[in-house]
Amino acid sequence: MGLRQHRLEHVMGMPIGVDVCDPDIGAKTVDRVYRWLRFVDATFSTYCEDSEISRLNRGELAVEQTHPAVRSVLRRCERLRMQTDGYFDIRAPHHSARRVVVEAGPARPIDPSGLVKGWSVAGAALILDRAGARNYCINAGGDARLRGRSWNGESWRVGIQHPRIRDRLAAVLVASDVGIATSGAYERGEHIVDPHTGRPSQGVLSVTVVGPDVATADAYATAAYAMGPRGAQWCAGLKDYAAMVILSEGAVLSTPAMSRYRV
Amino acid sequence: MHRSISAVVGTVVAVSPTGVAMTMAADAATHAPASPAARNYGGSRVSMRYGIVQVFITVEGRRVVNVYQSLPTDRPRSKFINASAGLALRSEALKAQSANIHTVSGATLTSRAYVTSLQAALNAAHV
Repeated sequence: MGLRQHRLEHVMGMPIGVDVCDPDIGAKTVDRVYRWLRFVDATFSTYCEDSEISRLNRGELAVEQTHPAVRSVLRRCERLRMQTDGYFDIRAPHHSARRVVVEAGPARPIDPSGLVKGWSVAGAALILDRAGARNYCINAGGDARLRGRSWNGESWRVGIQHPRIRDRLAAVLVASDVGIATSGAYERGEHIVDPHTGRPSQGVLSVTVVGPDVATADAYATAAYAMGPRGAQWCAGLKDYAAMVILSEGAVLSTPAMSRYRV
Repeated sequence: MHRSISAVVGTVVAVSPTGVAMTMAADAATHAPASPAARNYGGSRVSMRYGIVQVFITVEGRRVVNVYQSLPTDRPRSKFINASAGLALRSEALKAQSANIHTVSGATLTSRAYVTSLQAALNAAHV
């Protein structure tokens, strides 16, 4: 009888959990998943001085010299920028509670983390799929990819974190074969900025997006959050993706597709 | 992660099933609050391609009882687009619950970001 694989490691500055409920999948497969995640961290992290993104931002590397994965991610970010009317923008200035990081000119540094987190989870899921896994849950700092069912055959149940009360949930979703991503800024510190105004997005505590691809869900949640309250309306127009927007005043706006996941 | 099952806590307020659609295209001045104690609050005005959108909420005491939007009405085409989008959204009050779940999705700061932010705050406080 095989063992359930359940592992939690700290990568990319966050806890990443991999839970595989197929008896045939062993530790070596999960090892490969974490090697992938560490590759993503080393290549894309803006906190890592030697990452290709950091070197790109310093002008030490040209885009043409980067890893194919980097070029692929950057192309995808550009497509998402156009699709979200500029609200997903990896060149957006980064606003922290202490200061606005203002970058001038066409060579502003990029930060693709709004896509990379979800994209790394999608890549991890692919490793599991190719190894034959059909029942798993991967969660990287709140971006999750689910497939099949949990260990005792029950459906995966995902809690949406309450934006104000730390150990409470705002909602519970039952889902399988989907990606889930939540964007927002519950605490003081770094905020997602509206790329059109350069100021922190107001009026919204969080946006949760559910759909077929966790990387896309991540980018959509990031963009919708940057839009402020009208992000909910934008989400209502999305094909194949459902959304739940928690407003600062304590109201929740959901698109019709979200009701199929809610319990 | 697993949490024990417990009762749903927090305020759950019934909202009209039509939610936002009910008050679509009404502006704050003409929208009647649900009861004498209720008040309407307007959010920031956001510029959209076809006009200005502003989200309003109706509050009774400390509970949000309704959320609605003023939608641009000057262009017939925009009315249709926003009508379908406005109809599509369901509004409800934010609940706080505990439940038996396997995993959580939330907008948590990465620990590096937290440390960076914390350090900046400490620096500013000269600690």
